[in-house]
Parts: sequence; structure tokens; C-alpha cells
Amino acid sequence: MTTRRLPVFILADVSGSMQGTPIESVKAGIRQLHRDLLGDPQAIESAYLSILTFGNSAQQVVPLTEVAQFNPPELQASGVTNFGDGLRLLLESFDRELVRTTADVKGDWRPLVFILSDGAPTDVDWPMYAQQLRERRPANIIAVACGDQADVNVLKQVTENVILMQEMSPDAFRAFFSFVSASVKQTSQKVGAVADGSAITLPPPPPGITIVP
Amino acid sequence: MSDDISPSAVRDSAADETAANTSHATHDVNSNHSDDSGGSSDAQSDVKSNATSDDGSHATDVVEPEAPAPAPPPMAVWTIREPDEPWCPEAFLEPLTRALGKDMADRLLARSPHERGEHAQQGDWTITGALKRGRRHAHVGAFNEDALFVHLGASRGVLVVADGAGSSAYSRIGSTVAVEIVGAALRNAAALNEAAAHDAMERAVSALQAIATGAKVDAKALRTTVLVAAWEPSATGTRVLTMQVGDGALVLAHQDGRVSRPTAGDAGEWSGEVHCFVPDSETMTYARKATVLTDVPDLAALLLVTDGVDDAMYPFPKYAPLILGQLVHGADAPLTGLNAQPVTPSLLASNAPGDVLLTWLGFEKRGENDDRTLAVALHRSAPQAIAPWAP
Repeated sequence: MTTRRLPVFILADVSGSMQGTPIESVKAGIRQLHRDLLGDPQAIESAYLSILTFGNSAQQVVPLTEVAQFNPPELQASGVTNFGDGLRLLLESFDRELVRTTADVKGDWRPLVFILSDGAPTDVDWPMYAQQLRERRPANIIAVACGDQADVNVLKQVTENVILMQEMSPDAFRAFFSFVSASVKQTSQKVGAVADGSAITLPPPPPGITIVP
Repeated sequence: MSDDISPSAVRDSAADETAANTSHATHDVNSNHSDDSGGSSDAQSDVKSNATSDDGSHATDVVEPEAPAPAPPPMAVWTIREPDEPWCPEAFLEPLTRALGKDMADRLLARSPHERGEHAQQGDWTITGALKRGRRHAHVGAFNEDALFVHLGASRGVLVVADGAGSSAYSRIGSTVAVEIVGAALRNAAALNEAAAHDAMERAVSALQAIATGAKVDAKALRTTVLVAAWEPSATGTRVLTMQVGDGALVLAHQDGRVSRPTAGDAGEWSGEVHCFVPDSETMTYARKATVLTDVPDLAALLLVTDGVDDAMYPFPKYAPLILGQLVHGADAPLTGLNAQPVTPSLLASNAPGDVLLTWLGFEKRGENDDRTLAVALHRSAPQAIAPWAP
């Protein structure tokens, strides 16, 4: 008998355009998310967090780690927006880290993925990986377009769940990470769903964040 | 109350968390033991930890300066809240009454929504069932979403368990109505066969759709699993009818100690996901595929559980003989893989088996905090057929 996990992946854009307030706000948001989840007993017992980033290349900064053992990472922004490498690494992490149900093992809950990006991809491979994510539906993916330079249409090719954060202020990031926290808590509460990978019901987005239809 | 769990029986730091976690059980006492009014003194109260205690065997002659102890990881602290809304919102009252009849509807509305133990004995059979709100729901003031129906007549027994979908707002009503409709239909059926099972499920689907229409909600708001077993004597042993839509587990135990599983539960690639709930449009397709009528010459027990038990003890066929061993002979140590488990006597030796089973459902496993329901039918041969649980 093993412990079932709710895997939560955050794939963050750390390209040069995120330097300064945006990257500092992402770091603060991850710390805030961690604090929030430590106050939720079901999250303590089942949520696992992983942080991945993409700039010139993709990195898994924190592998899937239970909330109680998680240490918010240091992030630095530089380089281009190699979105495709980020999606590739996300798919690779799924294959490497997730446990699916078999006759002998109870699998993880369907993972939750939050993708943050403030720009447009600079690589050419991203459509291939976006297609894989869309077709395989290995997770409930929520993409957030940060600021007015983010390419919503690109994110829409990864997932139908795209939200728009109009400003890139610390308050806006704080609101977004509260939304992430609420989504994790709601997902861990409302277990029992149809296994068709259809869109999940998200908590209402906070002011300043809108769901892109 | 039966589950008076004593933190003093819990040892070591891992189990300290368990003690904190069990605190709700001490207070969550809206029990309605309809058949267990004889008291529950034999439903034991200790929780035993699976972790070993430090016996001091690591003592050394060299006294070294103590390194600062690492900060303990944050513990899950569970609370208990009562729901803010009534179990049956006003919009559902009239359609619920119309679907079930006034007497049954009144009976459902009067009993505890959070936990219940039931028991009956007749002829060769003893049946016991219990359901318990999970910590996850208690912590946020949500209702238990599981449901239970038990019946033992002169010749026929019926057990039905159901688990309302967590993603459906009124699944507690869906699961409760479904078990009552299916259970009553099989109790009253002229013959025990596939047609009777399918008729029972069709009645449940119709009732849930009618309630949804009457309450002006989408029928998906009432989604539930349903797991059924009915049995009666046959010329060659026992005729057993089983049917399942959704997850959970059902096993038969035989007199040679084997267990068999007539229907596999519906499970997706990820935890908590199934392909069809009652009353989805494909309910009858899934129900027909998972209906089994068989004559069992050596039936010793039937065991049905919702996923709150199945998921914590997976794969269930492996754990079913151990669970039955605990229920038939008593449990004095936790099953492998559990963090802690209450000490409970044999259901057969107790004068309050419903309370005992309710206490048994208080086992603890990290991350497994869903509502739990278990129903068991024990033939008089069960004590010989089923081996005692031994750690």
C-alpha cells in the first residue's frame, strides 16, 4: 500500500523579460503557495510540488516533493523563451515521476500543471510538444498569460484552460498564486470525477485575472 | 459512542500525528445505530500504531554533544465542522419525497448524515454495515457522500453501498436515493436474476433523473457509484447476484479461504476517476457488463466497500482475507501499510456489531481521508473458513 499523491507542477518562464519584479514575484508566489498548502491537512498528506523553468533551456529546479519537505527555490531570469524545451521536460517529468493505476498499484491523482509565460516562444519545436500534451491529456493544465506581451494563442494550443493576468505587478502574482493554492485544495477535496480528461472546474479567478474563453 | 480513541495508546512521533488526526473521531458522534442500541462497550477504543517504538537499545557509553534536532515536518491538523447547508436543500424535499415515498424520505432525513452502523442476524447469516464521514469532508464542513443499504430476510440478503462523486454538488442525495431504490427493488424482486438487477438499476436512474428535474439541477449533480450484492439459498449452495457501476470493491470468500471478485471496479488511469456514474446515460451499459449471477457452493462471506476503504487497502483482493480475518476474529494490530488502527473485537462476538464496524472504519493511512463504507455478510461457516489476522 503506497501513498497516493496529487502532483502539482509549476512550469515558469524565466526568460530575460521576466527579470526584476516579475521573477521576484514568482518566487514570492511560490513561497506563498507553499505556506498556504502547509495549512491544509489534505495538501500536507497528498500534494507534491515540482518547479520547472524554461529560458534558454528547461530545468527541473525542484523534483516532485511532498509539501512538508519542499523548499522554495531560487530562480533567476535570463535568455530567450525556449517554450518547447519546457514542454518537453514537463512530458519527461510525467513519464519519470508519475504513478499510474495498475492492478497492483493505486496511481496518483491526475496531476495539476500551471504554466506561466509572459512572451512568445523563440523555439520552433513547441507545437510538437503542445500537440502531445493536448492529445495525451496527462494532466489538468492551466496556462497563465502574464501581461500584454504573452501569446494567448500559443497557450491555447497546449490547454483549453488559459487565464490572463493583465498586469505583472506583485499584487497580480500574489492573486495568481492564491488561485493556484485554491485550485490545489479544491482538486484534493473534490475527488471522484469522470476519467475523460475533460476540463476541470476551477475556483473563481481573483480580480485582475480572467479566464480566456 | 464506540470510537473513543485514546491518544495514550499511540506511540512514537509518527503516531503523534496520528493522535492529532484522530481527535475528530472523539467528537464526531452523530451516530444513529439503528440496530445497535444495545450499547457498544465491546467496541474497543485503543489505536495501535504500526510504527515501532524506541526501546532505548541504541544507548552508548560515549556521551557526545547533542546536535540540534531538525525541525519536525509540519503535521496535518484535522478539524471538524458541521455543514452550513441542510443535508437535503429545500428544492430537493418534494422530489425526494415523490421518488421514495414519505415514510422512507422521512426516515432518511431523520438519521445522521455522518455515520451509522447497522446489523441483522437471521438463519445462517449475519450482516453488518457501517459508514463514516471522512476527515477530508469533516475538515471543510462537507457531508458524507457515501450511502449504505442492508437487508436480511428469511431467505434473501441484500447489501448495497454507494459513493457520491466528489465533483457533484448533491451526490450525497444521489448515493442515498440510489442505495434505497436498488436495495428495495432487489429485496422485493420475485426472483433473483440479471433482469431483477437491471430493473433495480433502471429504477435508480429514473429516480435520480426525476429528482434532478424536480430540483432543477443537472442530473450530473447527483452522480454516484453503486455496488450491489444479493443472495439466497439455491439447490447447489447460494445464488449470488452482483452488480457494479463505478469504483469500490466486492469480494466473495469461500470456505477454503479463497476470495474471488465477480466484478472488477471501474477505475481510470488516475486515482479517483471512473468512466461512468449513475445516472449517466451509459449507466445501464456499464451495469449490464458488470452484472454476475452465479451459484456458489461454498460461500462463507461477502464483502463490499466504497473506495474510501478500497483505495487505502489496494489491491483489495489481497487485503480482503486479512480484513475478513479482523472482522471475524477481531483486530488487535494494524494491517500492514496502515499508520494506525483501532483495536476491535470480532463482529460475531459483539452485541453491537454495527458500532464495532464503525470503529474499525477509523483506521488511519496517510492521504486516505475519504468517506468510508463497508458491508459484510458472514455465513455461519465463516469462523472456520476465514483465518484470523496475524501481524
